[in-house]
Amino acid sequence: MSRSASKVTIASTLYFCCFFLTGTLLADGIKLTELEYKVSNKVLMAAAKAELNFNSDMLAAVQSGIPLYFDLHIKVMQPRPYIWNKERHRVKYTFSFRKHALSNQFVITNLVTGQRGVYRTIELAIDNLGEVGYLAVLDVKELSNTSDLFMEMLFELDIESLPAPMIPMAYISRSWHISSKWLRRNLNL
Amino acid sequence: MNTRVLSLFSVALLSASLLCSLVLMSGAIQNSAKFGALYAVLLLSNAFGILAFMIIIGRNIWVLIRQLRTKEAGARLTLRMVIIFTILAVVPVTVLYGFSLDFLRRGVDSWFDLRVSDALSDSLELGRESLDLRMRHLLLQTEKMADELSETTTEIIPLNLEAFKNSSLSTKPYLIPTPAQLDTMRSENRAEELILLNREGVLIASSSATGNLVPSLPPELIRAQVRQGQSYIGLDPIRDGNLSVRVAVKTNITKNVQDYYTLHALYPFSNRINILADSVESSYEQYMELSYLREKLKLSFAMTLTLVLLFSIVTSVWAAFYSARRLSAPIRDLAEGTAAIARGDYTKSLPVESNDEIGFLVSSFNSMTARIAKAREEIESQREYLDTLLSQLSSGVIALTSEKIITTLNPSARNLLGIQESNCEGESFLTLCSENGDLEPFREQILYLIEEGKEYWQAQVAILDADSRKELVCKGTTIKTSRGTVSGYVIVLEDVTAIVQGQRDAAWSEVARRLAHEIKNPLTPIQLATERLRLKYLKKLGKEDGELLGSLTDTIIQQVETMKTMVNSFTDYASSTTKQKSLTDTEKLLKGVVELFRSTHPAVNFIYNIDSNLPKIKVNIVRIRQVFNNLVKNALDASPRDIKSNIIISIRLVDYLNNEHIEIEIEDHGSGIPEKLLGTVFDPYVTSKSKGSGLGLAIVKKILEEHDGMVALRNKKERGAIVLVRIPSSDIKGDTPTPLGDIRT
Repeated sequence: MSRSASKVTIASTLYFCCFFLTGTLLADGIKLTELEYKVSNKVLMAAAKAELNFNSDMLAAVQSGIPLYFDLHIKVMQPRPYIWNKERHRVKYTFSFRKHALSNQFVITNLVTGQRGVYRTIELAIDNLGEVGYLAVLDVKELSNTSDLFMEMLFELDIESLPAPMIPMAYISRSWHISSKWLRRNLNL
Repeated sequence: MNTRVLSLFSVALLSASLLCSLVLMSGAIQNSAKFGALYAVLLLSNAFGILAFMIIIGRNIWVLIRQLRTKEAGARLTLRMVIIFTILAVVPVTVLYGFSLDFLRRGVDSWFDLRVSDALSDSLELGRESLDLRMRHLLLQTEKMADELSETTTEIIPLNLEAFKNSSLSTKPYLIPTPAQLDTMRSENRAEELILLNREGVLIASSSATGNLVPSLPPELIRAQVRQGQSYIGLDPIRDGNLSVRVAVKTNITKNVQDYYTLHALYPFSNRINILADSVESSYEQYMELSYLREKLKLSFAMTLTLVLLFSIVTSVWAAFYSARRLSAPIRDLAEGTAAIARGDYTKSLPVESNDEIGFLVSSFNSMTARIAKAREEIESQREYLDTLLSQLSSGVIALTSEKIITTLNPSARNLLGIQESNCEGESFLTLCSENGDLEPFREQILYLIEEGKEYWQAQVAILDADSRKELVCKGTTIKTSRGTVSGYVIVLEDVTAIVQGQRDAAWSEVARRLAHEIKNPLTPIQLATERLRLKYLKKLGKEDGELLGSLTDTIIQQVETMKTMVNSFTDYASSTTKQKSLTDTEKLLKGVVELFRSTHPAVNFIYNIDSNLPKIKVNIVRIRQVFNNLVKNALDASPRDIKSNIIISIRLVDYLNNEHIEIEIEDHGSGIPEKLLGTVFDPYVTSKSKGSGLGLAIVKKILEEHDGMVALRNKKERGAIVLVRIPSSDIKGDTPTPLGDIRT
């Protein structure tokens, strides 16, 4: 490959990287406000509250019957000096958010637990999506060392789960890059 | 595997991968469940694949531009073919793309018919109305159950262990339906589940048709609505996607106005209704989803189609480059081969890579090149042969162009014309002659003959230089082309000096012989008669007459003697001495002659410079002695009489014309030969002496030529002259190569 061709390839790659990074950094549709945890029957459980702001594109999609999928990422981390933190455990819960046309209601389903909620208005459904009840994270017995641990949580819209025709536009449109920032909470187990 | 095959394989692999990726992407759009997860990856991989192709094409374009700049053979042809192939490929594909895009848009739009949309909305609305009717009925039914519970429920005192332990505590009675009563009520009303909750939402009693131990509790919102006195009825897609009707009503079982229970009931729909409702729901949802995705679908299809178009274009352009290079390669080779032939390189052989017409063309070119090379070799060989022939030819050959430019001038011609330059080809004949002053008459003569315009011509031309005179016979031929125009001239020069000289010598010999014969015969009677006359009448006459007679007869006798001497000289000149040859020592012979003159010329000092071990010569001793006698006598005559002077005599062995010769040089310090006599000094009756007969040197020359020798005479730079004699030694190696014409005199 000639030198000029290599330059073109590097420039294209940088452009794509910058584009995706920009989309991620500008996402502000979800804000995690609270992160709680408890240990119940030796099981570490986490609950959270989030403020979700559906933009017009998302609202239009839901009203048109497009299901939206939200991922809740929970990580248990162990800090390490000088180098990056060690990930001790990671779990993901996926929530589907869709409209039931016949009943004209909105259904939120935790695809992991199967728990389901039915709401008459979309606003009510959005509010309840942000009320994440206690979810199991891991069995505390699995942790050999429970000191200096902390938990991180992130709530985001899964673009890959959108219908295929929407994916290209979702990738290049900021309105579909909906994600919270990582919210951290120290664990005292 | 060579680079070309590897590159071709790589591009083919890239094309196949890209094509598969495009097919998968098309599938991903149509069936998102199957390839939806790969859509982004496929899109990116296609974009990068096309980018890779574009880079390859860019590199090809750059290489082509570089070839065009350096004017490489075949570059322009490749450019033309690439343009033509690209246009042929891109134009139809682009037209097809335009129409496909239009059909695609129309096709997607045709999916969405207003009547279908209305029908689906109406069916959904119909479903809702139908369900609402059923739900209102179920609400009335549940309210009726609540009333029944208020009337029939009996008071029950619950078991309170704390009250047993502590007597101060009292146990209040509760109004709670019995499980059997609740089951009967649920069964009669075909409910799936009946739950009785108190004001705080605590489960008081429940009955379930499915036997679930954990009943489906109503959310807080429903309980709040009931708390406010409003019954709740709703359609809930709760379990396994099946529809259920949830009803919650307030009941006053407790008989207390302040307190109340909530009766919560779940009613399932029949399977038939569920299936129909699901069908309506899914059809409507699918239609709505498609309606929402209409533009995005168009965009995705268009994007896929555009990628296909780009893929087609880039592969076509690459294929155009590849095909153009493949097709132009033999033509480029042919161009390079032709250029090589134009440069004179006939060793170029082109590779024959195909058996089609181009392969035949290349093969024919190779054959042609080989034939040209062979013909050239033959021409070169003939030219070398001709050069060798011309170089060995004793005749001079000059070839001129029509502009009188020399194309051939063989060594013999250079020798005859006295031209020192070894490489005269390419020079102007006229200029060359002008540069050599002695050739000016020759140039004028030849120019005159050429300009006469005759096809063949012949003339004898004399060339005079400081030492000699040459007689050349020039034979010219005008070379004409097939169209009659003059293309050049060939001039052959023959040196006839020796022949002319021989003819002249023969004529002189004949004259001398006749003179000797005619004069010698009467001389003796004249002398005898004069002596008799003197003897008879000298004593008879008087003193005065006698003296007169004596004086006259003395004069006659003296003149007769002189004439006899002259006649003898003529006889010597005319006589042939080829017979009576014997081996002789040159040194001894020459020194013997010198000794005869030493006493009469005491002022002259003879200096010998003689090589040792000289071979003998086979000559007529009398005649060669006469030669030496004449030459020594000439040297002594030339030397000053009263002043001491030297005569240097050298004898050495030399190699002349591939044969050993004895070379004798006699060098005097006299006044030398007058310049005007140098060319004719060996002719009879040519002399610089007042009393000389003019036959001495002529006889010398004649005797030496009869002995296959030569004589030459030249003036020294300072003072005096040198005479040089060469006589073949007795040890002759080969044939006698001493033609008279080659002897420089």
